[in-house]
Amino acid sequence: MRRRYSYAYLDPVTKREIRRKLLKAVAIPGYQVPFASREMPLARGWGTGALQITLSLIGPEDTLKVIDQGADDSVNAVNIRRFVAQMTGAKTTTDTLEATVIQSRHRIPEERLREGQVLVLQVPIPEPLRYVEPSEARARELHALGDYSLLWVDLFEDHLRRGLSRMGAAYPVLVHGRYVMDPSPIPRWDIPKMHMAPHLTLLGAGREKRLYAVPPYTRVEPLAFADRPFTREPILGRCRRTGANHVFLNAIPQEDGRVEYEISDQGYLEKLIKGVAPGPLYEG
Amino acid sequence: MLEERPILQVRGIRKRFGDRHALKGVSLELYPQEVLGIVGGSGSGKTTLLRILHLEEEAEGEYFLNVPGLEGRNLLALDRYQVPEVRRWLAMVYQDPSRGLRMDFASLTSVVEPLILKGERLYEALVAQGLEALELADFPLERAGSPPKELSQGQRQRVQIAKALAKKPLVILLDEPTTGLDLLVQATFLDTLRTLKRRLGLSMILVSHDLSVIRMVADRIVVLYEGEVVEEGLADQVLEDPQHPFTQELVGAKL
Amino acid sequence: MGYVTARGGEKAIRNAEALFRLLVPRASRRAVKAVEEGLPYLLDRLMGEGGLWDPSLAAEVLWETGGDLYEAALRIRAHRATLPRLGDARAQEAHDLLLVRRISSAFRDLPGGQVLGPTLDYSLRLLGRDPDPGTGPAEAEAPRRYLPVRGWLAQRGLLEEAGGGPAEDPGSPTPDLTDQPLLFPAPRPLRLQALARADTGALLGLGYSAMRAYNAHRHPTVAELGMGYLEVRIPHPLRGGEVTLGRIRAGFAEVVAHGERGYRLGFSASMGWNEVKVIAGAMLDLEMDRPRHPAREEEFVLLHTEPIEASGFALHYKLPHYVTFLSNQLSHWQEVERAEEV
Repeated sequence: MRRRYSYAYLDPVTKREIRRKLLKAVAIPGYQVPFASREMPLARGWGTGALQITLSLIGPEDTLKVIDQGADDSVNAVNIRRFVAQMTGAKTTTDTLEATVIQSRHRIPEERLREGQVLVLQVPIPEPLRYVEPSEARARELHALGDYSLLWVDLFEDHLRRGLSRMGAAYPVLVHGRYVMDPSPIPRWDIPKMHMAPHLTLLGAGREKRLYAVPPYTRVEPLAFADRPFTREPILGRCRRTGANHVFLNAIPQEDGRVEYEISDQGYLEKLIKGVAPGPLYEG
Repeated sequence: MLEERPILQVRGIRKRFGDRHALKGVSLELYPQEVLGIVGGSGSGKTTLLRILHLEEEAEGEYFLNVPGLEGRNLLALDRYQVPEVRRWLAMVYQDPSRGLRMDFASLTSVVEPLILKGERLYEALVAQGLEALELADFPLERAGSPPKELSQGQRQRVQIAKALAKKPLVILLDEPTTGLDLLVQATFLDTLRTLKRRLGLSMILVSHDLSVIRMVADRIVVLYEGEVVEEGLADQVLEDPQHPFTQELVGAKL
Repeated sequence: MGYVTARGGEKAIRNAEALFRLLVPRASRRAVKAVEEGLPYLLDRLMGEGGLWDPSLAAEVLWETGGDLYEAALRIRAHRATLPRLGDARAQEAHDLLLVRRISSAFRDLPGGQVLGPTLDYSLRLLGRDPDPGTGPAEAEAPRRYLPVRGWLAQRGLLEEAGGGPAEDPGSPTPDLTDQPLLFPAPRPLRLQALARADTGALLGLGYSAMRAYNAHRHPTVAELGMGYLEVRIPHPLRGGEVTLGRIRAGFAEVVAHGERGYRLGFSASMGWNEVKVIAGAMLDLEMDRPRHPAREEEFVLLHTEPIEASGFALHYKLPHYVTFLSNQLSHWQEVERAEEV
């Protein structure tokens, strides 16, 4: 006996709250909007925030792509895709260019997204100040004051001690020149893709109960000293299937202690292998 | 000097903690390039007064700083979000260095923090300005990378001074800065303060229970007793000819 | 109040027991068997906290106590304490387990593969019965052995030297938490045993508070999680060689985080399949030597996750305390009066 659910599983009151909060988030780029965050049939920490966003926006005319670490076939992505398709009748795809909504955990696809596409990112810890200021209340005050000195101090210390910033995924970024935001644990490789991008990015943290957004064509600047600029991770090998080294690669351990590499963006990898022309990539 | 306008002025400061009246109507001024010493015993309210001057405590009364944009505005009436703007003009050296410094970060990092807050975004410039401030504070530069938790108390206080200097504030506030320093270290520390005052024309308010500390650095002295100003004047005058019984006791105890 | 008087007290106790039996009737053999077969995860949690592997006993105790987990764990521990100690089983490595579930979050793929095993992790939590997916014959045999992730990291020089806890002497017998008090800093075997027996909820609470203090770039990662069967082996007393007494369910987790010179590694294992526990336990093992947060202090964590001690003490507040109460009352108000006199 399966209950009958509202369209897209969420009841209308929930949908309304989320849509209103999303509008607020888009109106204040990078600002974390608290929301009630319902429990979903997915465990907390597994994407309930982004899922609520997707379900609030998607319609039967939409085409959905879901990836986890760049892979469409990751079990978590499969589960989410199944669920949304079931609840909404939306089409699904693994082709970045075909999708109207892309829900992603920890990656931005390599092929450039267009105007009109929506990227929904899953966020474990939305607060960029968390590790320098454990108090939730105090962190909110710092955001209100625009006081991010703690992050800068941490960055200074890193440069002093190690000559570089140790931060990897989830590198803090300044959005629209006002709020510092945690871009979700995407690699540094993906950070430049957010700056002045044609697409809309929405970020959801279900467990921590926050929504935030980067509207199209918005400045997204990683925190860095002007004379110690932000750099992306080095790509240390070549994809074992295509020889590519111009996009982010997964490291795959081998028995003998070696490592092999493979393109992380599965949709993009498949296009290269099949000889299908991929879309334009991000510059640089 | 009396014809000049004061850079800092408080009038009628009153502060209560529950039933206890810590400050009962204190007024004083600070003039440019002078060191004002506030002396008093425990319970006199001197540390509370300093905390109020640094806008860490609320109080009744009026508080003015003669800086552009803030003339004539009672700083005690500002809300929380306007306070950081005012604090740019002030620097505080705490009795306990762990309140003013990040004990686990490099000393240099604590020193440059106010510069970062002001908006400096060039790493090399921060390092250069930070080292300059440490040098002015007579801090051994080879230890600039050491965290304060690995330094002696005297060195920690010098890092605090450096942090204050880097900020280039209007007024430096010092709360019992020589606590825990043995006499020799204390003497060199106060010497540094005196030299800085002379070279840089600093304006400072120094709070202490110890008259010998005050006499080394202060131009004018204010004596606080049980939350009230009982005596004030030029340092030499107050020390040589104390009027109030409490001041006399203090002075007498030293001779 | 009849609570204290001897004869009245005995009668009250017997009545209380009778009322309990009214509420919780004794279970039939069939019911006990049904629990043993149908609720393995509940029993695993119970046996893990009770420190004794005996699924049918655990099922029976669970029925006896009406499902009160703390009461059941106490009974199991108490029972265990009465059993004679026959010897020590052979020590084994995590990868000696017959793993039915082995995943690594640190890598997309690795030798041996990512084996999901029996799990609902990736399913939708919707009420109502789904049609049974059913199983068929496997397409390929699962490997008997998997590449231990820790070994691979060590081989590549990515692991910091093991720290935390006094060094062990490999020749000496393994210390046993059940026959000595836990003093701090704890020897590593005792720490791991304490984590193995800890209250799942408490460990989760503390582990969670530590996890929330992390941000994404100091994110600890599960290097390996394994659930499977452990064979209990002892040396044959007469023939020499080894004898397998049977199998228990067991699981482990290894978590890594960035250290100064490489990854630091946290480890936790327990009897039964209890993933929440071993993940939280491994996180805490990683962090318990770097106090800056109460969950990062070994003493704080191990003392407060002891389920029998904690639940016992929480419930002891129900006992009469009236002498203490009156004494404190008189002393306290007396002081105040004296102050007012002055």
